[in-house]
Amino acid sequence: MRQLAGTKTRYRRAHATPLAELISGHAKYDMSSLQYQLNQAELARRQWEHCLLCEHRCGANRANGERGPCHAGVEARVFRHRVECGEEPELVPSHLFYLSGCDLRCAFCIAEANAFDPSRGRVLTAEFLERAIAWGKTQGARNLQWVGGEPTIHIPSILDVMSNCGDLPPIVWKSDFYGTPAAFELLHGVVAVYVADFKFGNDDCADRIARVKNYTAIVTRNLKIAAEQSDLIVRHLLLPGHIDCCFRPIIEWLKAEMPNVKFSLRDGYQPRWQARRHAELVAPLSRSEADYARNLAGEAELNVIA
Amino acid sequence: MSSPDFPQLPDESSMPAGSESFCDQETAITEMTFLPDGRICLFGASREVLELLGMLQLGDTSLDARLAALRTSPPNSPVNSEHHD
Repeated sequence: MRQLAGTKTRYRRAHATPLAELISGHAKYDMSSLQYQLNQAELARRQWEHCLLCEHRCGANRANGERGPCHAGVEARVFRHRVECGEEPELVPSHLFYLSGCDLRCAFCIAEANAFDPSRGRVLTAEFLERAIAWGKTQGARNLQWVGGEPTIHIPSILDVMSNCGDLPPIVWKSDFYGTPAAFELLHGVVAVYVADFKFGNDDCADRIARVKNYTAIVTRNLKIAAEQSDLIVRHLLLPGHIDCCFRPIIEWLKAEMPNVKFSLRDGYQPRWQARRHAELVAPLSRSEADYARNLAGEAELNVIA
Repeated sequence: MSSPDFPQLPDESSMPAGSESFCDQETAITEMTFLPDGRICLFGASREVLELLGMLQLGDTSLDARLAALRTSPPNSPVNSEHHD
């Protein structure tokens, strides 16, 4: 680890860099931001001994071999990285790093087994990341996006590795938003844009399909935290048969609480992984459901960006 | 750590330098699904695939927005270059 020398005051000035410049790649984090990040990495490593990064709050001592519901240890592993162009238009081209391991168990996960087995992929190291970033830049990538699985369970490793890389692009954090406030505090000043996967509009669907409790209270709390920290894009993958129970409550909440947030509506659901265990998830989303949902979002006057 | 449910991949971190794959290239593909009603679903869309679809002039505004973004951030190496190590 490098020596820690930054101050939060200097970091905050860096954080105030206009988002448009960060995303376009015309501005970079200055060293004060990186040094602040070093402090965060040091704090994050304590989570390995009593993990409270996600709302399972398992308290596992991952450094000693204990494992929580995510099964993750202290190493983060990358099972895929590539420059993608199907993200929200303001983010593309985006260099996505897919980390194995997740705190949710969404039956329809498109990453399938890679998402849930944190032993998959190669170990994330600073050397690997620097080489990968350099390659991504040759492909025109504007930013580095951590995805999963779920990156939140790997915050200590990610911060540690990034703090040992010299020239980081803007950081995009795509998450299920099931993290704890402590996890978001560790990301404060590190993340330029959060992409929040708001998957379910009620706790019963979340428990049944993704095996998590208290989902809506946790995610909505975290959306407010993230909106205070950085730019925020709320993404929702439309699920067949879940327009009234999930999509409608989500847009009603957004209309009431975050009417101007950037809202990305995804209508390309495919029945993957274990989706066939749920009767309503066995087929792709119908065109009529997709059109109906987009009309609802329009009527709610949400800021639909994709 | 090991999960009892899934087959294990080799631990690439223990492989000699130069013998490891830079990443899992077998999964670094763009998936395109044609639905019977004519919709096209993309996952992991690359620049080249978007540009290919752009040439078809599908009239898809979401595609056009991404293509516009790509034009402001061109690659500076040959487009089909391999990941390197």
